[in-house]
Amino acid sequence: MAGEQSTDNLSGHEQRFLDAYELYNDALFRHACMRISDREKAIDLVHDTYTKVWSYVRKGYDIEQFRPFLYKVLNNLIIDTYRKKKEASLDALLDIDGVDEGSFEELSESSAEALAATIDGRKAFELMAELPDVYKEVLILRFVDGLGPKEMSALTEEKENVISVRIHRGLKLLRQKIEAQDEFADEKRKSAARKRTADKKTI
Amino acid sequence: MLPAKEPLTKKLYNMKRFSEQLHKQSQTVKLKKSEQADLRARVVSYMEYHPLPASMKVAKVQGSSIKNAARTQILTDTFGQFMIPYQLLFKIGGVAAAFVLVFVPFMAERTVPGDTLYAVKVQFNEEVRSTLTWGSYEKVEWETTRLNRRIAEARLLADEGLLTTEVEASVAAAVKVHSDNAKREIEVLRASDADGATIATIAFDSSLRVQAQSLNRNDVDGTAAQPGDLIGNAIDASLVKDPETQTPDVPAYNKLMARVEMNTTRVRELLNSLDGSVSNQGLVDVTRRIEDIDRTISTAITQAGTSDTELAAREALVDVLVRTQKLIVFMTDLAVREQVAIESVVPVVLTIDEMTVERSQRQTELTNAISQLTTAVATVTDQDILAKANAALQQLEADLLQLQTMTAYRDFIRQSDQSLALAADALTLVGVDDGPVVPAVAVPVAAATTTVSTSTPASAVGTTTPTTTATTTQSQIDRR
Repeated sequence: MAGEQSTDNLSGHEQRFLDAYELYNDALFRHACMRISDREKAIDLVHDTYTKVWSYVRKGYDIEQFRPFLYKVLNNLIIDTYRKKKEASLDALLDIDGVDEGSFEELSESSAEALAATIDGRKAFELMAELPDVYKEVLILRFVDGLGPKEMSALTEEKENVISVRIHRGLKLLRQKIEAQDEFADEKRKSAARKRTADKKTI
Repeated sequence: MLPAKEPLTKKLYNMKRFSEQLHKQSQTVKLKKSEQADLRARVVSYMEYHPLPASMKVAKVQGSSIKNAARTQILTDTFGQFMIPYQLLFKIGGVAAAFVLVFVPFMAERTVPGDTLYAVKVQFNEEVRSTLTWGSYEKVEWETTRLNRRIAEARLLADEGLLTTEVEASVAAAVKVHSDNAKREIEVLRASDADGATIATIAFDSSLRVQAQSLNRNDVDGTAAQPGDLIGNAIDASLVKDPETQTPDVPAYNKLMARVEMNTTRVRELLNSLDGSVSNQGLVDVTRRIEDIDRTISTAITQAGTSDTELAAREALVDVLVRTQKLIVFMTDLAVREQVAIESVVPVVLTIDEMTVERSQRQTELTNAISQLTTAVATVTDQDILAKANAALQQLEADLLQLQTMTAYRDFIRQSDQSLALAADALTLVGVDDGPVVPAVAVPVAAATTTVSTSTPASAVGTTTPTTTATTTQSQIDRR
C-alpha cells in the first residue's frame, strides 16, 4: 500500500490518482452503500476517502497500489461512522471475534464454499444490510469486491483465519436469516391458505 | 441445516451461482450519472485547491505525456490549472538580463563608430548614465566626458586608418550635440547658481581647449588621416560665446576654493595612477605643475585674507581651476598626452627665485648687447647704418634703465623681449653675428586659436589664457 516517503518517481501522481478515481469510485461507493445502507452518506465517505488519499499523496508518500489503500481508508471511515453512531454491538462483536479463533469447520474454505452454495445470492443481497458490520464487511469484500484473503487480512488488520471465521459465520448467519425469512414466508403463506380455506368453509 | 451429500460439481456450481447472484445484485448499487459527475467535480475541486507542491510537480517527470494527461484530466469547466515554469523562466530571464544588462554594455564600451554595439554604447550606456546623473554641474561634466570620448574614438579610428569623412562628420555632430547639452545645463545651473555656472563654464572651456590644442597639433603635422578639420571646427564653434551668456563675474571665493580642492585631489589621484605607466620625466613635469598650482593656491589664500586683494585671490583661483582642469584632461586622455606637450597645455609658472634669475640673465644679456653695439658703432663708417645703430643704442640704454625699475614680471618679460630683439637686429646691422639670442618661442597651439576671445575671468587677469593680441612675445609670456 503506502510506502515510505520518497522523492523518486513523484511524477504522474495526479494521473495515477485520477486513474484510481475512475477505476474504483463506483466500487467504493457500492461497498460503502452496502455497509452503511445510506446512499448520501456513502457518497460523502467516498469523497472523504479520495481527499484523504490525495492529502497523503501531497505529503510525498508513494502509493504503490491504490485499490487496497483506498479500501483501507474507506473502511476506517466506515468504522469511524459506526463509532459516531455508538453502535456498541460492533465493538462487542469485534472483541468477541478477536479472541474466538473459530472451529475447524469455520476455518475451512471448502466449508464456507459449501455453505455459500446453499444460499440464494439474490436473497443474501437483500438481507445483507441486516447483518452486523463485522460480517457484512468481510462478505462484501469477499463476494462483492472480490478481494482475496490476504488483501482482506491486510485491509482489516486481522489474521486470515479470523477473516475465514467471519466469512463462515456471516454466511451462516445470512443463511439463517434467509431460512428464517423463508419460514416466515411459508408460515405467512400457510396462514393465508388456511384463512382462504376457512373463508371458503364459511361461505 | 447443511445439505447432506451433494456432488462436488454441484457444490461448486451453487457456490459460483451464489457469488454471481450476489455480485449481480450488488451491481445494481451504483452512482447515478449526476452523482458521479458531482462527486468527481468535488474531488477534482479538492485537488485544485490542494495542489501538489511545486517541487513534486516539476521533479523528475517521467514523460511529459503522463503529466500532460494528468493536467488534462484535472481541467474542469470552472477551474483550469496551468503550470507556469517560474523557476525555469526566472533562470532564463536572469541569464538573459545579465547578458543584456551586463555583458553587452560591457562589450559595447570598447566599441568605436562603425561597430555593431556602438549604438548600445552611445544610446544605452551613456544615456542611462546621463539619466542617472543628478545635478547640472555633474551633467556638464558628463557631457564633457562624452565629448572627450567622441574625440578619442575619432583618434582611434584615425590611428587605424579607418576615419572616413562621414565618421568624422558624425563625430563633429556629436561634439556639437554634447557641447550644446553642456551649455544648456550651464544655463539651467545659472538660474539657480551663477557662480556654479561660471565654474562649470571654466571647466568645460578648459577641456575643450585642450582637445582643440591636440587636434590643431595634428593639423600642424599635416597628417591627413588625423581628425582635425570638422571636429576642430566643431570645438571652435563650441568655444564661441554668445554675448548674452558672457560671465564676466569672478565666482565667489569659497565655491572656487571648493572646486579647486576637488580638482587638485583628482589631479593627485591621477598622478598616483600614472606612476609606473609614464616616464619619470613625465611624472616630474606633472609634479612641477602641481607644485605651481599649490603655490598659487597658497598665495590666493593669503590674498583672500584682506579685502583689497580678495578679488586677486579669486582670479588666481580661477587660473588654478583652468590649469587643474587642463591637467586632468591631459592626464586622463592618453591620446592628448601623446600628441601634445604638457608645456603647451599647462605651462610652468616660475617661482620668485626663478623670476629673479631670469630677470638677471636678461639684464645681463641686454647689457652685453649694448657693450657690443657700442664697440661696433665705433667701427661703422656708413652714415645711415651709424645713425640707425646710434638710435638703437640710445633706445636700448633707455630700455635697460626702464627694465631695472620695472616690477611687474609680465611687463618686464615683454619689454626685455622687445629690447633683446632690437639689440639682435642692431648688432646684425653693424655686422656682429653673435648677438643676444631671443629666447626660442614654441608658439602654443592655444595661442594660434585665440581668435576667439575667452569669456573666462582668467583672460582678464592676464593668466595663461591667451588673448587676441597674440604675438610671438605674448606667446612666450603666456607660456610662463
